[in-house]
Amino acid sequence: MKVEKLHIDDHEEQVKDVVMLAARILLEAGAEGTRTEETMNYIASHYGFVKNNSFVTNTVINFILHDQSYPRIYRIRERNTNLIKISKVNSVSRKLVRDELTLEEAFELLEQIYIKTKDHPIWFKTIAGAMIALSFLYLQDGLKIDIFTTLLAGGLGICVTELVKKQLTTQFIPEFFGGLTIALIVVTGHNYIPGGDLSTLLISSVMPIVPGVLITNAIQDLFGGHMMMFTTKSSEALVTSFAIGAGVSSVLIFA
Amino acid sequence: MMDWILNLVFSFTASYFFAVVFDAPKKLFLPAGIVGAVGWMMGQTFGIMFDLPLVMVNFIGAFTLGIMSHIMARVHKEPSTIFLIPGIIPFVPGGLAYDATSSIILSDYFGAVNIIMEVIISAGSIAVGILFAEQFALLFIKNRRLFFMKKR
Repeated sequence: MKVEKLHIDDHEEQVKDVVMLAARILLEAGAEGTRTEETMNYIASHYGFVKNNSFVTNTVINFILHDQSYPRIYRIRERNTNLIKISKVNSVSRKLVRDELTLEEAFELLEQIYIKTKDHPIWFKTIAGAMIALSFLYLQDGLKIDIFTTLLAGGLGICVTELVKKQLTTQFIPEFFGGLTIALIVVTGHNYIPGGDLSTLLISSVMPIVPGVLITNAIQDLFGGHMMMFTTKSSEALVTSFAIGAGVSSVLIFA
Repeated sequence: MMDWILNLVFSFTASYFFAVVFDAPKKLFLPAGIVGAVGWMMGQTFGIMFDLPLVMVNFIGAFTLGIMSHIMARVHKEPSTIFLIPGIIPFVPGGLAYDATSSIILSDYFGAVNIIMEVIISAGSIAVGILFAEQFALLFIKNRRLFFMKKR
């Protein structure tokens, strides 16, 4: 979680520091590979290093400023989705290229973004999850009798997933527990309020924890020609959706 | 008539609250919701008017969504992904994927393969829609501004 210090009195190293930090924030916030590489090249070529090269995947950043300099590698250990950070880094890089910021100020700003930007609180996400589940109940032609169960399951599902995600950095477990919670609530609710449609109920309550960002970014990277990022992102998406499926079906087997 | 209004409202809320879940900036919740609603409604309208199959509905919806998100990205000066991600999720064939999984659990593998093929094709149609929208947007949006915006 610690950010390295900016180099003093060494222009090239300072450029590298800023570029690496920007890329790191972008990838840890779940941006696409094409966007990350574009931002890195954009900043570096603004300072006259036209021959810079970068290669990022989900888990690693490689960057070289020019042929005679040392390359930088950074290994990315934890990732989650945070669109605020992407948007803020985007605006910093725009300002940097328009010469409205010096390298020191840009590094300071990026550091602030990295440390201080917070996710939305969990209660807010719980409400959002409940509303998403309700919307999908309508869009998937659900029945009115299921409204209460979907609200509860959708809200608590995302609440559990986020809470477990805060404690662990593993891939599979948070979505598994989310799916488990949702299926438990849905099956219980379906027993106490009969007459609904079980599959529609499950689909709409599971929707809030579907890995939408991963899927969309994987597709965009595929068409951007970034095959490595597509492979890694889609395998991550596959693991996540398999976790949801496993969680849901381990309840459904007994129901 | 009531169906149309409810469709509009719920596709809007779905995209709006997905923006919340994915930690979008607060001022972009509303544009993201609008983009999602417009994409979904275009898909539905064309689907019902011309009685199109699911693949075409997904394609038209994703195409509109891509165009809208590029326009919004230029208007708000933000990355287009922020608008695209919340909007795309209503199109994701979650229902079909669920059917496939449940038929695997019930050991009905032939049925599962059929449904999985359908899932792959409808996901592919969304992807192609986004691709077309992106290239289409590149044709008309030059130098990072729209044609009606003033020169700096």
